[in-house]
Amino acid sequence: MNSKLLRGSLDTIIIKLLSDHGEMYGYEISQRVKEITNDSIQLTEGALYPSLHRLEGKNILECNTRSIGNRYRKYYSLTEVGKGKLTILLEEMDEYIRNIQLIINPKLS
Amino acid sequence: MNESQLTSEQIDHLFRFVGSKNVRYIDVQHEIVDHLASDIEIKMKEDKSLSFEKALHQIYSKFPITGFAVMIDDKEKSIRKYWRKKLLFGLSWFLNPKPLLGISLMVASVFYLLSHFGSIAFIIIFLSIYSLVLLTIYKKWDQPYTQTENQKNYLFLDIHRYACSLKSMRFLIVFIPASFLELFTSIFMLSTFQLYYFSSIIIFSILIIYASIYIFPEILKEEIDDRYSHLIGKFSKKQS
Repeated sequence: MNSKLLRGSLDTIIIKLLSDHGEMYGYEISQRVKEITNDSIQLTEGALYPSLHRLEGKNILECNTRSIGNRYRKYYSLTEVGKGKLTILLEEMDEYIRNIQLIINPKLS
Repeated sequence: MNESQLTSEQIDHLFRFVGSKNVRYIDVQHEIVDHLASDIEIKMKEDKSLSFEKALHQIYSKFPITGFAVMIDDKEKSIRKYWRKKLLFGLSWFLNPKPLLGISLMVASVFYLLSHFGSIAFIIIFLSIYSLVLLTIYKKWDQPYTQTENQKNYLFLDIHRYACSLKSMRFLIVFIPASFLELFTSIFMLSTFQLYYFSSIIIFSILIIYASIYIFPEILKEEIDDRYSHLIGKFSKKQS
């Protein structure tokens, strides 16, 4: 998929997945996206982690580090601010898709 | 997948590998290692004949030519932003009604002293602030935290020191005495409004110093204990 298109919607994807699944770690998020889209969207580490860190910096995500044996794993989840943001982002995405559809597939008058 | 399937030796290998790629911060290494390890585990599960080294090579070859540099830069930016927000939030406490009333009374007091006791009040206030600045810088209150005993590097510690640092105040050692004479001669020509403004600056400077010594380190200490205790244990203040 065109990486420029993906970049604009990555925050929405991350927030939506965390809203649905509660707590996830970085790799798990990339795998879930790949699974849901049948390999159509593959999130690279270079795209995913900067987004996660940025959302964490904005207090939209919070993290919780746990030991899983011989290493630590960082789990991300939505803060209250993040949960509030989800509705707005989904509405914006909906509106954006509708508008793009109007341009790409104009209805015949 | 909530338990590691790689051996401790393989995890150690990953840490050395990540360290060899210019990732010197331990907290950043942990995040990258977990990602690499998770990917390797999946690949080795899908292809039983794939060795650990080959899986690592395949995964790393998908990274851009800059390696992990983008991840580190971004993490650094996000931590700086987070600390800035936290510190501003700490400062916003002063905008609550009670502290605001207290600040207003302090400004009014300084204004009263300057307008009624003239040069003596000015000299005393000036010397007090200058002493506070010197004391703050040389007491090393800007660095309440130390690195761990074996001197490992942690990105959040470096950033926090930057956020808490009063090193930028060192210019005041020269600036304050240099500006004394000019202020002394001009202060009594100030209008009432200008004198109130000057009084506010004095109080504001004292509050910033107070926040840097007492409020910011406590905020950051709680944050560090909350988020990073798994790496360095609970933080304790540096013994002076």
